[in-house]
Amino acid sequence: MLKLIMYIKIIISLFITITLISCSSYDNKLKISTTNWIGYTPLIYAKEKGWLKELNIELVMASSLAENMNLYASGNSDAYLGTQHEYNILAKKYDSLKPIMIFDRSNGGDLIMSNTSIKELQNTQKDIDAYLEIDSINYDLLKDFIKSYNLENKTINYINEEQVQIEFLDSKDMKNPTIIVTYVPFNLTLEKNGFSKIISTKESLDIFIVDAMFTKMDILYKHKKQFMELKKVVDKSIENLKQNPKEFYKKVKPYMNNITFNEFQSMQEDIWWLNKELSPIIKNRLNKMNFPSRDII
Amino acid sequence: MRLSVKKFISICIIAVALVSFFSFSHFYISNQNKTASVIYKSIKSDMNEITYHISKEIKYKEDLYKFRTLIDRMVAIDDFIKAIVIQDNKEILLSTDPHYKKILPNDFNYKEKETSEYEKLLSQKTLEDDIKFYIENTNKSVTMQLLIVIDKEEVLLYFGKKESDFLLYFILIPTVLVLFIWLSIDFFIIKPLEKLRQYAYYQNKVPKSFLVKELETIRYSMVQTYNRLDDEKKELFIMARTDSLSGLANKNSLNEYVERLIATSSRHKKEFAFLFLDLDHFKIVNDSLGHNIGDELLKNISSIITQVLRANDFVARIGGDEFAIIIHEYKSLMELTIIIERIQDRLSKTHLIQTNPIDITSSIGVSFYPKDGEDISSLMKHSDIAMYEAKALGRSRYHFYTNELNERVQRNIKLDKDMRLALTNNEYQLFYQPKIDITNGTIIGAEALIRWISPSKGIISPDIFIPLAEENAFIKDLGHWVLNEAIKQQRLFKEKGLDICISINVSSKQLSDENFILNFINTLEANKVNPKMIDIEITEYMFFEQNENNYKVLKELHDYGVSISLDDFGTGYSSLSYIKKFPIDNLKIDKVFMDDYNTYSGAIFIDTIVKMGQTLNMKIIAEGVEEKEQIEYLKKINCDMYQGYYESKPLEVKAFESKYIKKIVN
Repeated sequence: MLKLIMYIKIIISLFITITLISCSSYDNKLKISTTNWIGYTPLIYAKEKGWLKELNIELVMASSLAENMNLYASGNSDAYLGTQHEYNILAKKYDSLKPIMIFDRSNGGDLIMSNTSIKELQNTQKDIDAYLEIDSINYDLLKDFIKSYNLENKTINYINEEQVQIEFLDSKDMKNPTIIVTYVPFNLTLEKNGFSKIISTKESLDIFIVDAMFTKMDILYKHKKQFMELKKVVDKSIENLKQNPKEFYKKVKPYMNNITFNEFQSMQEDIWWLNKELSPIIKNRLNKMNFPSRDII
Repeated sequence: MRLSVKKFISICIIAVALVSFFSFSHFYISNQNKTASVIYKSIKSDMNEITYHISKEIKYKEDLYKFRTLIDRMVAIDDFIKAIVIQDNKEILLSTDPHYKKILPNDFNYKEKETSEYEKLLSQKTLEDDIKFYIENTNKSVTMQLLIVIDKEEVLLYFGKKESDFLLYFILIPTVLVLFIWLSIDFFIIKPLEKLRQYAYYQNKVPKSFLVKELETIRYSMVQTYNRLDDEKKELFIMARTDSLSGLANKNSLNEYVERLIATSSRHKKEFAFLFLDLDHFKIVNDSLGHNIGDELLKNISSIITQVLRANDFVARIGGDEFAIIIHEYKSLMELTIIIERIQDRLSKTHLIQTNPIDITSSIGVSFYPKDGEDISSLMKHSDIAMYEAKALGRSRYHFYTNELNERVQRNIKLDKDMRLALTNNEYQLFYQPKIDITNGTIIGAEALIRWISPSKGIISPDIFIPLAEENAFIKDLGHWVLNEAIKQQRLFKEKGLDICISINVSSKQLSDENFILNFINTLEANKVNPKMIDIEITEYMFFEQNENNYKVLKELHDYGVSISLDDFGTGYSSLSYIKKFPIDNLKIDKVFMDDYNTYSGAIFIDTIVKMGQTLNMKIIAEGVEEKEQIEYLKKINCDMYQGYYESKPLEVKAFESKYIKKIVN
């Protein structure tokens, strides 16, 4: 009888040991895809600090919001970052897709640039070339702009490009009046290439752009502990940004097309961080957009 | 060399385990290589795709930025790719990971032919391919390198998981399974087999039911077989020791029994009787009525003998009409002869066999262990001789092997018969010996003593017939007569003016009669005798035999008013605790002590007894007083009473009355 009990104990111990070993971190890795939008830099900062590795979280860089969305849709990430536009598109496909973490709202970070002025755009008889990521918030921004400035009767050529390609457009090469819908930091290179900002989310545009992390509920439950810790890490990153922006800048700089510190600082003014408790106004705005905020960590 | 089932199964399991382990290991390593090969080829394929695509699409080096999305996507999709870097000989042109700032060197860490795919995947840091294109509208070619940085951590993690999975699913779980199978085999097969082996060998403990059908079948069959063997063994044992006709023990059994009894009797120094019983004229019955009637008669006789005998007696049929009977644990020869006579008496009654009334007698020869033989053959021979002697003397009788014993037994039988007849014929008389108060010489009591006045033999001393009466329980009837007579006599004496206490001797056997007290009291009341005028004399033997019962009876009588005297004090089994316990009123000093009164030591004994008795509040009576000097001595030591020839021998009633009633009157 004692022998039998001993055998059973050995078996159970081995079983537990191997089961624990086999339930390795490989199974529990959380992949989050993002772009290098200023509002997502806390994640890039956390990655560079090694905090994401501790949580078994891998950050995958995408070249654009649309590409980011596609990566998620094709199953190459467990959660993705984007605006409400990217959420609405995939929410139609996935019932359980929800925003789980809000990072910021655009306050000039999303902008429209041009090789001409708004007035000239309003008066021109030529076709207007519009460069944008059609499958992103760019489109909503452009729609809002066209409506706001009565450009509905104009012929607009929609040219769908990734921001990494849009970034290298040169105003000298443009034959037509050109509208470029972009966001920081890609505007900096465009400015150097002769384009100027004509409008942004800071000014009179009615559009409210919010940046968040999205995932399906089953993923949230599966990686709940990681997401909770990630939230703390994001808050900590933003806190570090406020406390020591230079240090923050050095970490994220390689991902930001090597912008200068001053450029980086000016970008901070293009967003409002929303990682803390949402104000009633913001909540109200989100509700109007039908942006679910129930599962937000 | 033979292997046990356990070892055999262990070897099989170990062999299977080893083979499985090596197979699984081979499978695992092979699988690992295949997986590594697939990963490697996949990365290579992706690399080829990218290089091809870029080579075909790009026109100028500056346009490389357009392919940023492509390489970003590739890194995002493929977990095993850490980064993709496009470089020329001078600088990095495009990279998915901004940490790569300097151009990456060529990776010569592996030798392609000598390592497995898995080792290659682990050792190789980068995969490299060339992007070659021609500048638009020229024939000038530009070559760039595309390097894919393998994510080692991911590879290790992936294969580590595979390894853990392998260990779990191909090592641990099978081990657990094998262990479970081993334990199951051990529990359900090996242990039951061992139990069966033990059972086959020792047949002592029947194993409980097994769960495995085949083993249970074997167990059941074995149990049935062994039970059957046991039964047959018992049957054979009985058959080997039983006479098939009568059902009695046979000679084999007799031999065994007697051997054992001889051993026991020798150890305890006891005797037993060996009886040889032969039916008289049995052949005539067989010849005249047939063997079947003869057989039936024998069965009947066997049954009768068994019924007559006591539980611990033994009977065996050793021949056609011959039986051997062993009787032990008898108290006396008398008891033995009673048993023998009972057997013969029952056998001599008419037997009705299939409507044939048959009268048959038996002759019995008796020998004793150890005096007539110390082994079975001599006992049987001598009892056989005795049996023939019985037949010679006329059959239907018994005869002992030794003549002297024979005569003694015959004498006792006659005496027993005469004793009983004497009671019927009023041949007994009570004589009375007076008890005298030492201080004043007056008669204060008398002891009733039985005498047998035989018309043919004259006076027969109680020494002759009392012991036999005690032996054959006639003492109860005799004692009852004595009591009645003595109590009646007390009344008669009183009516004549002599109101004295009559002492009556009572034996332990009388007290064992459950009606004794009732009869005693009834007799007292019938004769209107004061119980204080009756004294019961008991001997020390009464303390020894049936102690508790005797005590109860004596206590009851004492409480009723009867006094108790302890006769022949000092000659038997006294202990002071008994004297303390039993309700003794008087101590009678035996004549043996009185004869020695004039010696120093003798006087001390008497003195001690007297003082002890006085201290215990008992009266002391000296017996066997024959000299005046003895009386003087007794007076000196304050003895209370005396009895003996000095005063008077035991007298019959008339003589007693004439001596003592006149005295009182005077």
